[in-house]
Parts: sequence; C-alpha cells; structure tokens
Amino acid sequence: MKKKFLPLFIAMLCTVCLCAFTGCNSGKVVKTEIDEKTCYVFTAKSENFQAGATVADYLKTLKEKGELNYDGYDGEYGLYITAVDGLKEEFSADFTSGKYWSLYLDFTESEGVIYASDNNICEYNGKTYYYANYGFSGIPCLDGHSYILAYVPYGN
Amino acid sequence: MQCRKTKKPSPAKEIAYTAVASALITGAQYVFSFVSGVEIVTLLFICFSYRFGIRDGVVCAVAFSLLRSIIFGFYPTVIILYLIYYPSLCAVFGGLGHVGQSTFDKYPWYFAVAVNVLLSGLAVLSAVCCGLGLIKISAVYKTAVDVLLCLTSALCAVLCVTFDCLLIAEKAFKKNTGRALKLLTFASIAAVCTVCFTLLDDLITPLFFGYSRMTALAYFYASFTAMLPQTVCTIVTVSTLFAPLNSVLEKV
Repeated sequence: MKKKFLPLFIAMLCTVCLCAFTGCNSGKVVKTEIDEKTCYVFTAKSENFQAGATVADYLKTLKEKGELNYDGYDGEYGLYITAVDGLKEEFSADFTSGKYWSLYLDFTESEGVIYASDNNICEYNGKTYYYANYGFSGIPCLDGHSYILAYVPYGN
Repeated sequence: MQCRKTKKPSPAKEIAYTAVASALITGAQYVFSFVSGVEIVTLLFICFSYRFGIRDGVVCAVAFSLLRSIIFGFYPTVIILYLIYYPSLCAVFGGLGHVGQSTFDKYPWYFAVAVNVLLSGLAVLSAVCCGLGLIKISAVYKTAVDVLLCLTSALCAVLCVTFDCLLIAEKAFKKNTGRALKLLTFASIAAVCTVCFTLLDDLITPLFFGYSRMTALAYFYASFTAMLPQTVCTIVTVSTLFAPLNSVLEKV
C-alpha cells in the first residue's frame, strides 16, 4: 500500500515545487494575453542591472541572456522596438492606424518625475499597469517593479 | 504716437498678398518641419502683419491655420490652438505696425520697463528652472532641457543688457538707436508670445482630451522640449531677420 502511494507523493511534491518556483517571480519574461493584446511581462531584478539603468538597458540584458528576443534600433530618443519574437509592428499606408510595441509600468512616478499616465491602464494579476509617457530609454529600471511590453493597436 | 505713412494697397492686391503670404508661410513650415527646433512661421507672421496691418495679418493667420491641415493632417487640438494663437500674434504685431519710428526714437519709459520686465523675467525664470531642477522630466531629455534653459536665460540676459545699453545711449548720449531698440522690443515680445503658444497648448490639449491632473502635468513638463528650442529660435530669427525682411516688404 505504501509503495503505491510513494510515486504519487513524489509527483505531487514535484508539482508543488514547480508551482512554487514559478510563483517565485524569478524575473523571467512571461508571455501572456491581456485584453486580447500580446504582452511580455517581466520584473526587474537588481542582479540584472546597474544603478541608473533604463528599461532599454534591462531589455538588452534580457536579450543577451536569451530570455527575450526582440528587434529594434537606437533612434533619436533611444531604443525603438520593431519586433518581439518575430511579431513586427504594422502601419497602414498613411500611418493613421497600425500596431506597435509599447510599455506599461506598475508605477506612475519616481523621484518627482511622472513616468506614466493613469489615462491608459491595464490590469494583470491583480496589479494595475500604466501606459509609459516616455520610450524604453526614458523609463528607469527600478528593482522589484514590473513592466509590460505590449503589442497595441492604434487608430481605426 | 504717429501712424506709419505707408501706401495702402488696393483691395485686390491685399487679397493677393494675403494669399501668397499664407502659401509662403505654409511652405516654410513644411520645409523646416524636417529640422528639429527651427521654425520661421512666427517671424514671417510678424513681418507680414507689421507691414500690412491687423486685418490682413489675421486673415492670413486663419487661412494658414486651416490650410496647413492639408499637409500635416487634421488634428482638432492643433487647429484650435493655431486659430487662437496666430491671429492673436498677428493682431499684436499688426497693432505695433501703427507705432511710428519716432516713438522708438524717443523711447517711452513704460515700453522700456515692459521690455526689461519681459526679458529679465524670462532670463530669471529659465535660470531658476534649470538651477533648481524644476522641470521634472525623464533623464533622456534632462540634459537637452537644461542646456536649452541655460541658452534661453543667457540670450534673454544678453538682449536685456543690450537693450538697456542702447536705451542709455539714446537718452543720455542722444544716439540714434531707435531702430535697434525697436528690433529688441519686437524680439522680446515675440519670445514671450512663443512661450504663450506652448502654454496655450498645455491648456487646450488636456482640456480637449480630458486628461487627469497627473497626465496634464506630465504633458506640461514634456512640452518644454518643444517650447525652449522654439523660443531660442524666435529670439534669434526675429533679432537677425526682421529688419531685412521688413525692408523687403516695405518695397511691396
């Protein structure tokens, strides 16, 4: 009787450990769908960036570690992302509509600077995320704070 | 104050001049839209309305505000902003066009006080904003904003000092500095108007889109990245190009 229950017990233990490990928020990038938008959620961990780093710096670190695959270039205002995991930005011929990669933060303000606005928000895992006012190079990377890379439509 | 003695064109010519000016200013805005921070629309409107008067200036400004939408697209807040600001700008400088040169040759004290208040106020405000870090903006823009604040402050301070020196030269040493004083007066008024343009946008856009207080504040701080280069550009262009452009228009 004990021999029958032993493999079952080990399987349950492994399952619990796996769930606990996933819930640990280890800083890995999580791909998910929020409000029918493809999103990549990640939490900044201090071991992955230096003081004064921006989200652009953190994304580059994630890319080097193979945790996030994106395409982009350094424009006039810093990093501009054109594709993530092959999902490219799209624009209509007259640029009045399309889809692009945007950033949401779980904070609005830091050191007196307003980094995100409360007029465009999304909810994920019981947390509210705010649409960033600046590009990836303009948002600071804060330890323990979560960010969402979202593939959002605009225009008609 | 004496009115300028200029030959008033016929109604047909007025319409033609206004139409050509609208087209020219629209084209000039399009050309310089590719160069960040540089604009000559303010200068052209100032020159046109100074030469041709309030009515022609306002009509030109309204035509421009509507026509530019064909090139740049129809954005309600931009149209509202332009329809309020540019006709007002033209009204101000069209009115100044009625102020004769003799007034500037014997510069009134109230004009002098007003110009000093405008220029020194702008200089001090820019310096304080830079020194105390009052413009709460992302680090990616902070350096550029600080540099532009310093530049604006320095330019305004130089203009103020130059203006006072010319005024002293006129009053105490009876030098003929009327034209230079007029130029600096117009440059200071144009600089303040340019600041008002951005502040007006900071009012219209949040109201139109129903921004929250936080969003409106963020929009206000971000607007400095546009306001400062435009102000510097206005000071430089009006100071250097108003006189030659005006002399060309006087021949029309």
